[in-house]
Amino acid sequence: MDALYARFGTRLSRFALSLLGDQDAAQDAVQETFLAVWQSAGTYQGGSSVSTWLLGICRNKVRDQLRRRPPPTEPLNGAGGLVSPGSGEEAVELWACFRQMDEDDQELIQLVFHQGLSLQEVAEVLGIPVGTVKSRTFYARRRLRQLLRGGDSE
Amino acid sequence: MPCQEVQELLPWIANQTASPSERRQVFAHIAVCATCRRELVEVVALARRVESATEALPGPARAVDHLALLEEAGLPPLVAELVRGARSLVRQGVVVSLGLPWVAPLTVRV
Repeated sequence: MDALYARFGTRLSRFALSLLGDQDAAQDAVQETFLAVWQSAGTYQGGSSVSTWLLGICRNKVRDQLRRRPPPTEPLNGAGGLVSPGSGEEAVELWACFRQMDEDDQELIQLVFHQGLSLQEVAEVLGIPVGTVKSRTFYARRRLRQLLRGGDSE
Repeated sequence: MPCQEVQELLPWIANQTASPSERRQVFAHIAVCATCRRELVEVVALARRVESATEALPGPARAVDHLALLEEAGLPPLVAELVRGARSLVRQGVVVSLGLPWVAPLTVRV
């Protein structure tokens, strides 16, 4: 368990934080991920890589956190808890746009561009066909680009 | 391969996980299609931007409490007690490792 955490803890934490925008909630999601791993380690079939398996569990825990969260009373503006005082202007702008995308699009952008998953791995983590991953990622990245250029997401 | 298909594959060209056959088809296409070539440049830039912003996010704020995990997982109290005892011994410098499969790694972190 320690070896898994040492290897994947930071990666999962950043994944969860980028989607939740809150460090405590992200840490809870990661903790719940490792608890689920502990409880279900015997069910790992070895069909997917360990990182894909962990990301799939973590993604579900993030979804649980989002479901438990009360709906925002105001539109999301700014980069929220995703930037620190040392963050560059580019990162601030990116997160501000990222937070305006819907959760499905955020997941895809993170899984492909930060986690570096292959098409098949993204399909496995999200439980959707490869063709759907391709088309949804196409529109998600278009949306993000549009937002970064100052346009609305729709 | 038509432009739409090429453009749908570009994120996996950018993250370098496309298959050799997909890479061949995409690069054959962009060699003769300026639109898709520009699109690839934009996708690569976007990928780098997302990666660098995410890498700048803070890591875990606190270490995972493995003992709490063991207890929450419903392991017999005796096991949790053993782990707690082992951590106490390590804190006091009495032992470094107990040689138990999942107690020993825990002792390294306390």
